[in-house]
Amino acid sequence: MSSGSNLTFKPGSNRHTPFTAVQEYAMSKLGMWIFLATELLFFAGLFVTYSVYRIKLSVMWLDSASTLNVTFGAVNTVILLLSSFTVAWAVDAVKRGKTKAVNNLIIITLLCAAAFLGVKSVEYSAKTHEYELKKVSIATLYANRLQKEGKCYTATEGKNNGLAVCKAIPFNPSNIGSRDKSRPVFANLFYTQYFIMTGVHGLHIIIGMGLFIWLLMLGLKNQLNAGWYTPVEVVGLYWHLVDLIWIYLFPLLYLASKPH
Amino acid sequence: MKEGNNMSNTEHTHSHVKLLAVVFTALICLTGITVAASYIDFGSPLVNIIVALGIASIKGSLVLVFFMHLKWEDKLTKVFAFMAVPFVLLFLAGDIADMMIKISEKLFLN
Repeated sequence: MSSGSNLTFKPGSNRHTPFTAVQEYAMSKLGMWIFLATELLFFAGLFVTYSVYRIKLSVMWLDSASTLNVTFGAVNTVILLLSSFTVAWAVDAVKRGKTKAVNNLIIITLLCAAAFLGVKSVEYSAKTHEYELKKVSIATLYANRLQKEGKCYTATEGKNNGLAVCKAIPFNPSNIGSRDKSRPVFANLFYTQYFIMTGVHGLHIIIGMGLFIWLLMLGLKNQLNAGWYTPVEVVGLYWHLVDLIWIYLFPLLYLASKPH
Repeated sequence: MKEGNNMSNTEHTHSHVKLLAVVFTALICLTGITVAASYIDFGSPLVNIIVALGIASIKGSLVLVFFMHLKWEDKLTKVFAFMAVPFVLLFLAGDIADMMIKISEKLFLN
């Protein structure tokens, strides 16, 4: 059991500070919340571009969105929610001095983060293969080139029956860094946004994994206890924000086009 | 939990793990609901996105209130937690309004 009054400084630290342990803890936590507010504003820019392109390009945008695999997104949502739960549990455990449980929970969280990235990499690599995209959903320049290459035709069966479709690659990594201006790096704006939004989110996951490795090292050195657990608390807050962003990204990207 | 705590962290007389597990279960259920709801045609993609964002906001609130234990924080932390939200909404509202006006002008002029 711990309470506000029996907080201590980091074990082994002998630095002089004008603040009490309780004040240091409260300051760290408030600092993290302010950082999270700036993170939210940072992601807000991406959500604004999302709303603008979605409104502007409606048909093309929804067509491209329909080529995303909902299962990948749903599995990743569950993985991330589980990791958020284990982090919240770890914070609860460390406050009650259950340091061994904390280490185990952090390991589970790390495995969840790795699994999330694993699913993402399978998904990303799938998007470098050819898909049948409705012609309308492909950038004009790119569609013209595909037409010349004989990759466009009128579909005769399935959902796209009667529509002009092209065999296109939503994202072609070989185009990165290419000086050939006639080769658009991305087939369309939906995928530009998809890769930027999930890419930046994935970067947060990687940073989070680094932070959890740091927590695990502190835990293994027996430096976390019921009196000093500030790192677990603030890294936990960060991780929940990463989860929170994904909670919005999942319906916006994966479920956007569904009834159509 | 005790009300009116003087410090930022309330006394933890017992574990919250059971509550956290309930919240986690609710989050998983809501994920299922949001996937199921996305296949229902509500008549317009706009209604669908509002439903999806509504469910996402319920999930987000659960994460904020219980996982990020905002429920047990002091007023100052709560203020800072929601500090950015009105600005994000302002940012979005301005851009969406601009896009809507441009689209309706196009329709009107043609």
